[in-house]
Amino acid sequence: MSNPKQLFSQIYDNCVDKIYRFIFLKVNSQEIAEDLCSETFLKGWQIFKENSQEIENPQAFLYKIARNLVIDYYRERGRARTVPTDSVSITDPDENLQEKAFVNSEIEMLKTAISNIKEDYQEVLIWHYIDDYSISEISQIMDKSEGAVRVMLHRALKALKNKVEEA
Amino acid sequence: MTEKQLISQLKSLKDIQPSKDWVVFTKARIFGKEDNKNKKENSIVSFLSAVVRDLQIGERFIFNHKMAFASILTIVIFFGLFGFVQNSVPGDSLFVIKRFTEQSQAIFIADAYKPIHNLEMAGKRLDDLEKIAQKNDVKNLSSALAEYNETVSRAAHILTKAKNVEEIALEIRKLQEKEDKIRSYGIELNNNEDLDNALAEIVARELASLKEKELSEEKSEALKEAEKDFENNDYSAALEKILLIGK
Repeated sequence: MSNPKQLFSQIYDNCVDKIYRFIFLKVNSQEIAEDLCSETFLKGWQIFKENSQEIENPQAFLYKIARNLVIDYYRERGRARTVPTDSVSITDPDENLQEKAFVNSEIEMLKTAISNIKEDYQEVLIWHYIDDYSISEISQIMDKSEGAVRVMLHRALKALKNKVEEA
Repeated sequence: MTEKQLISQLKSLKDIQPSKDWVVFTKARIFGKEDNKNKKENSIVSFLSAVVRDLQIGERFIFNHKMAFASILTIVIFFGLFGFVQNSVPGDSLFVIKRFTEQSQAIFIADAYKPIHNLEMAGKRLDDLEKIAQKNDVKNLSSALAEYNETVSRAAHILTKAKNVEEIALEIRKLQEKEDKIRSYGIELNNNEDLDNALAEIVARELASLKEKELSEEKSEALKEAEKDFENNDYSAALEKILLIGK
């Protein structure tokens, strides 16, 4: 499959959920996450079609674009991180309403806590525990040694725990 | 919360996913933009070459088809003029044509519907007044007011012949709403005596007809209210109550 369009189409299919989730957990808004995610892939495609041979790790490449777009979003609009307004419901259909409400409130708290820790910590947690990337894969994406990623992951988990307990 | 519980909760965030529709739409948009851009570039090149080619053969072509071009030109002028006519307001030179067109259309309307049609025309004159107010077109204001009064009087003249009271009430309400809007621009609109007299006649007729019927207690109360409105010369309010009683 040498056609860049076909290749990028496959990359899109494989990565769109992860990139969307990555952005969503940083901006806490479905609408903004959709905008930034589509911009990520649009930019990605503009670069990919010209230089597909030079992009060794398309996932890392897309995460980098998404990360920069989120930074630009906060910088340009001067927005503070906020509590989510358009939440995504994550519930088990068998649970009763009270349990569902409890689970949702915990998840909301967790999402808010994630968006309030350091950028690097957010990313390493998302990649490892949510997107199931190995330490080795994360080290490639972040361009850091595996040891450094392990340490960062440990610190990130601790920071998140503190934030959750503060809330 | 233990580390294990935290990790378990983190894993539950996997459920955050974009909607399937959005995923499909975005993909189509990303590649669609590219396709459109290519098509656009190609179409610009082909358009320019077509223009050059047409210019080369254009003069000869027009000469050979001069009758067709004359017809097309006439149609274009006709439709252009029609557009201008439709946008004209009382006081404009083209308004005469607009009024003539409207009156010509009225010929084909059955007598029973003419009262409603005339009220609709009065509504159109109020639309003209609104355009004038928005443009602050002071020079056309007096013509538009006169045109409106004239149209309302014409409507009032045959209003009593109308059979469908409900439609009249509806049109009258529309007119009142439009009048209120015009007044909000600071334009004074006087009550049209002819219209008031016609409405009074209709209301009196309907009230008399209702009095002959056996009504429930609730409807009798409404009838009394309608009579009060009638005595206070608020004919449109009386008419609306009459319609409610009739339902």
